[in-house]
Amino acid sequence: MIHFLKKIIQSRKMSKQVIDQGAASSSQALLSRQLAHNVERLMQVFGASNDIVLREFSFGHEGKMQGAVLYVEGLANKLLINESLIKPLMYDIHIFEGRLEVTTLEAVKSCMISLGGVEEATTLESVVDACLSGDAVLIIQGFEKALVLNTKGWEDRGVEEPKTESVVRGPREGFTENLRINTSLLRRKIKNPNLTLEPLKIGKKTKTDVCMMYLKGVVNPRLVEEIRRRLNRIDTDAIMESGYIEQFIEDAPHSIFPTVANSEKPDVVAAKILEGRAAIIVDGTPFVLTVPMLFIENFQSAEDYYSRPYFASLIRMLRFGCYGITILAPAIYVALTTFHQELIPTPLLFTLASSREGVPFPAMLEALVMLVAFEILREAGIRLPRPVGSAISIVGALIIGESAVAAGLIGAPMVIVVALTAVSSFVVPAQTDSESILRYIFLFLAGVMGGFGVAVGMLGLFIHLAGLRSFGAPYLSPLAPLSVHDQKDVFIRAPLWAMLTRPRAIGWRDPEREHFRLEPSPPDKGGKSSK
Amino acid sequence: MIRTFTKNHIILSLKMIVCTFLIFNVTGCWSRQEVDSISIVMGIGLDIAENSEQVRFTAQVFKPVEQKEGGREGGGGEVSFWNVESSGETVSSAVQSALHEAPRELYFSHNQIVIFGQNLAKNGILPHMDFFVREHSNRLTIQVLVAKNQAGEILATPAHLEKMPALDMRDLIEAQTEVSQSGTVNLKQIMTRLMSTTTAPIAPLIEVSEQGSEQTVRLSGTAVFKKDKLVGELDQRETRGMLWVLGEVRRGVIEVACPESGGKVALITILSKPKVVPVEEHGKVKIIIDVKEEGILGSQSCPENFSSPEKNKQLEEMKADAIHQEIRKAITKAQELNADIFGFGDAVHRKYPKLWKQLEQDWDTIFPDMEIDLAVETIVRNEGRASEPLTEE
Amino acid sequence: MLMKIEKGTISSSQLLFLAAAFVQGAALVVAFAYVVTKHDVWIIIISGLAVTLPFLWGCVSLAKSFPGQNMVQIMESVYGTFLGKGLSILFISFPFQVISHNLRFIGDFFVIYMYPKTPLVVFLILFIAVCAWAVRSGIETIARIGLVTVAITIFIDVLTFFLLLGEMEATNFLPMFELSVGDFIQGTHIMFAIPYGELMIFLMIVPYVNKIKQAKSALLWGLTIGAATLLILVVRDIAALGSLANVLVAPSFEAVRLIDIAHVITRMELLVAIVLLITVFIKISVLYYASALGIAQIFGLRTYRPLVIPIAIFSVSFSMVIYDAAAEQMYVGANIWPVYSLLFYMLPVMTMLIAKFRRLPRAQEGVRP
Repeated sequence: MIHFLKKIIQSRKMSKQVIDQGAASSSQALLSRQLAHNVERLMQVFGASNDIVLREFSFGHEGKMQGAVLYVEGLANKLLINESLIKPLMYDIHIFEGRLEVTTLEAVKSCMISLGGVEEATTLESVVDACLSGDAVLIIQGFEKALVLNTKGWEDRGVEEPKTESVVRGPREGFTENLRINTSLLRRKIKNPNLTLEPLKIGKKTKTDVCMMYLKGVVNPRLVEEIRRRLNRIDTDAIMESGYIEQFIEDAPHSIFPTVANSEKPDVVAAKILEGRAAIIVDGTPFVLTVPMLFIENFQSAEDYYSRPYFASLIRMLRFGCYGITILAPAIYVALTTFHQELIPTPLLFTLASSREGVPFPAMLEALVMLVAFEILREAGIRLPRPVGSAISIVGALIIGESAVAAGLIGAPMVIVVALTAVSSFVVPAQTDSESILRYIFLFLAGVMGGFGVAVGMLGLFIHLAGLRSFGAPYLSPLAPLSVHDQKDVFIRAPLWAMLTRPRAIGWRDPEREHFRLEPSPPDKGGKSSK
Repeated sequence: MIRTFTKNHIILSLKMIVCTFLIFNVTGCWSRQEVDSISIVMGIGLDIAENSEQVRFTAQVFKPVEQKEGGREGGGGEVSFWNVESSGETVSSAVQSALHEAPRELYFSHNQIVIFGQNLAKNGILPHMDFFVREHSNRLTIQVLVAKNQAGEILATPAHLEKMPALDMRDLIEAQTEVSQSGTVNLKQIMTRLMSTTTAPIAPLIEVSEQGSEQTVRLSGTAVFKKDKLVGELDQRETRGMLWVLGEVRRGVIEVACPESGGKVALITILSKPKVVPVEEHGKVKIIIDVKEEGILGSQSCPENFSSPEKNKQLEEMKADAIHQEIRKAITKAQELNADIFGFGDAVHRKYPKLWKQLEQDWDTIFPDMEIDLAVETIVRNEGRASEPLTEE
Repeated sequence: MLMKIEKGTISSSQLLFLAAAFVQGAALVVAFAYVVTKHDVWIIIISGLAVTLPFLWGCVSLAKSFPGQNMVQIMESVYGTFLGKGLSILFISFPFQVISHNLRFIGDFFVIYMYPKTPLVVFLILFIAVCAWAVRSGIETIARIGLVTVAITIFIDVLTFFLLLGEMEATNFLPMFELSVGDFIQGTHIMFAIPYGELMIFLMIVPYVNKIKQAKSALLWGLTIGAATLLILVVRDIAALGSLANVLVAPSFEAVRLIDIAHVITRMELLVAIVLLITVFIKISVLYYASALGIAQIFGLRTYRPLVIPIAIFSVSFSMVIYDAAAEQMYVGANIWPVYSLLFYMLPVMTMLIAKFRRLPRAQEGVRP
């Protein structure tokens, strides 16, 4: 059996190599001087695709020169090509007649083309790549080089408010699917020449543009080196979304906890870059990755920093509490009612006993059924179109909340517990996936071993979290290992003027965020400070 | 190499998953019990069974009433308790044999009270106490009572405010801090007294009283034990006399006669603090008790005005006298019964550990004739809402 | 020649908290001493500390004079390969036995107080499985958990202390010093041999502290913090329970059960169980790690990880057969183990003396990496 599998894998590998070699031989080749030859080979590469536009034309003194423009319709801006490339070459060139002989490629490049980005390409592959990423390619008879003209322009979604991270106070803009717009959004936040962009192309087939961004001088160079190494390691066909990258570079692929953070909001990513992290932007998705990721990042929201510290701290602690509730509430309820009735206050126990009377299932099964029902409702609500989604929630609430209790299938307290669990899970959205899994694990442990099971599970969870690292930073820092300085941004959010240093756990180089003594204070009554 | 690694991983994790499931299968249901599969015991009564030496065990269990429509019904006039009765040589065997009658296992963690029947208490409670210390689910906060006759009878008396008689009685005991006329003890206190070589255990006495057609339970004084055997009882005034010394009078009313006219003045205690100091004199010990009390004037039925300092002083003296009498009564009774309910022995032990070694053996002969000095100091702080009494001018 | 099996390092503050949690893990073990010293237990907690501090100071000095070497390696350089390995096996059998005793203790606690119908072995297996997981993750992970453990423990102990103030009676401590010299020495010895002296096993971990100079003060402070927590516990229990504390198996559990503030803040004993679970977890993990590392070093393995599961299996089996009943453990803990364990406590003292005598480490050897 295994031999058979091996054989299949080997044969697959072989055929893959053959294909790759074939592709390489056809496109790695250099351009030739003959325009016709180049065009023929290009058309061979593209085949019958009808979105490839090839325009051959003559230009120059008495139309001596032969040229061809190649672009992909829809990706390249047609108007721009007409106005800034074809028109100058075919008409405006006559203005120079007699004064300037446009016979070389350099002359064409420097005098005729009124476009910002012009590069030279020498291989067939680079020409094809340029075409496919929306550039126009100008090939001229007699030259071994082609000109790649930046004419990218396709239909885009504008900058909109992100759906996943809505805020009451704070910028409403979100990243888009366009890499350039995304980098520009970040540049607009951090107007600093040290904000460095490192472009990469990942994906053997898709050749997706990926871009690493960091603030030189703040980021730890070893972190950048590590990210570069991991990104270069990726050898896959396609990168469809930043999630692809995440899964190839994360530290703990077998963990249920993400070790790479993502965000749709430029202000969040900019703040993280300023703390010494690096961002990885992938073309085609509004979700930008940031590394390293710490566990506490799940509990920090951009709004914490925009609103005043007291309320922000309260909410911060609420989030920690909600995380606890959402993973533990059903488990604790089951443990208490099936193992540790002695820990329930007496009047409450009477109520519970009365409500359990006549319920046909054991508490654990009851909880399991309710939780699965909740997951189903949630998933249905997300996937369905919005108007139908609300109908689902009404039906779910009515049937499961009301009827199940009335029919005596489920005890009323269980409905409350599961509802609380469900609502709490939305408070820490970044951890929704780990929350759901942990909830079931703890429920199971509670159902078979009660409080001991839950406690052992918590210990296990803690061991797991304490052992995780994200790009060198311990996942649980600054809690474990403890960093006293960084506590200003964990359970409480200290006032901004008190957060003097960047978080240590990330491994910054430039510690100082601001000068101390920035605490605002009213001018003295004596009028001394008014000068 | 990577592939073999993954393969091993899969096999290993499969093995681990199978093992864990096996473990959990094994543990399965041992200590698991749904809320609806246990009988929640709220009160226990222990008596001596008629015509045998066995223990008769009464457990009051909560009877859950199925709540329909989210609990809109339920409660009402329905009786929500059930008394299970059984007997056995020991408490444990009686608990076991209760299962011949009760369909669900008895669950003791929420037990509130233990009532000992008088006959059982006279024979000694220690053999039955062990169950409450050894069995893990019994809490040390359980209240202990002694019934004037049968404990089962007390538990059968219907409750008036709470759902169950046991809960009613628990509330009753808690309310005693307002009157301070019965010596309430929980399991921890009575155990500590039982473990002491000299201090006599006490417990509040409870009895069924008929009020017209209705039956209620009422607390009536304190049962006094010698070692673990019931030897006598203190009435309500003697009980308070004891509580003054123990420092457990939190609130209470002292009535004194109006000095100049007929009528009574009720003085409410709000604070009391005793000091018990043993003093050694020529190889003999003497106890000095110093009680400080503070209170207010509660009500008066005579038209006298007590708001002047002299009158106030007079009131204070009368109150001190009344307290003094109460304490004396209690001491006399205790010495009569030869039961050191005040813990004088332990006080001597704490202060003179070396001397105690000699006295300990003979404490039974020392205590009845012991010299006890008593001083009471009282304060009447204010006269309540009215500064002058209501009089027909 | 010198292999470094453990590549991680821990900071001295982590060592401090690890040591503190280690000592706190003995919260229930103090019950052994109640039998001997009754309400004067608090005295032997302090006197035991006074005895242990110099002992531990000596142990760390030994580790410091052989930088980068743990006890197994030190013994090899002091006694030579053959005798060194033999004595190392003796030394490593100590944490192994302590693991089994503690495992049994925590298992018995849960069986007696919370799961009367569940077989002991289930708790042993589950608990050792979590410890094995921690040990496999390395000393760094254990050390990270240490701080959180200490914080939770101190918080809960202090919280329950204040909640129990209403139940406490200062007279429970009187008469003070009502114990004979013999009892006092026995009690102090119990405290030295059971909760405190076991810190000797940190000789296996001290080399991995990044700043070795601070290791000594970290370890001594950790011991002191742990002892202070035990003192809080014992004072709370005696004050709240009085003479009952002497007869109960788990006084701190019973004391917390007394908490009842207006029927609202009540039934908090789960907190004690949690504290016990996490501190004993740290204690067993450290011992477990030390024995796995030690065995790997004695037999010249490249990593200790393959030893983790076998040690778990052995210690579970050992703790199953070690006693017939929980009561036996009380007797052994109070009377036999303290004397027996002197055999192991002798090892570092002896090693130190012989190292001094042989003028080890010699200068050229001393600078090995």
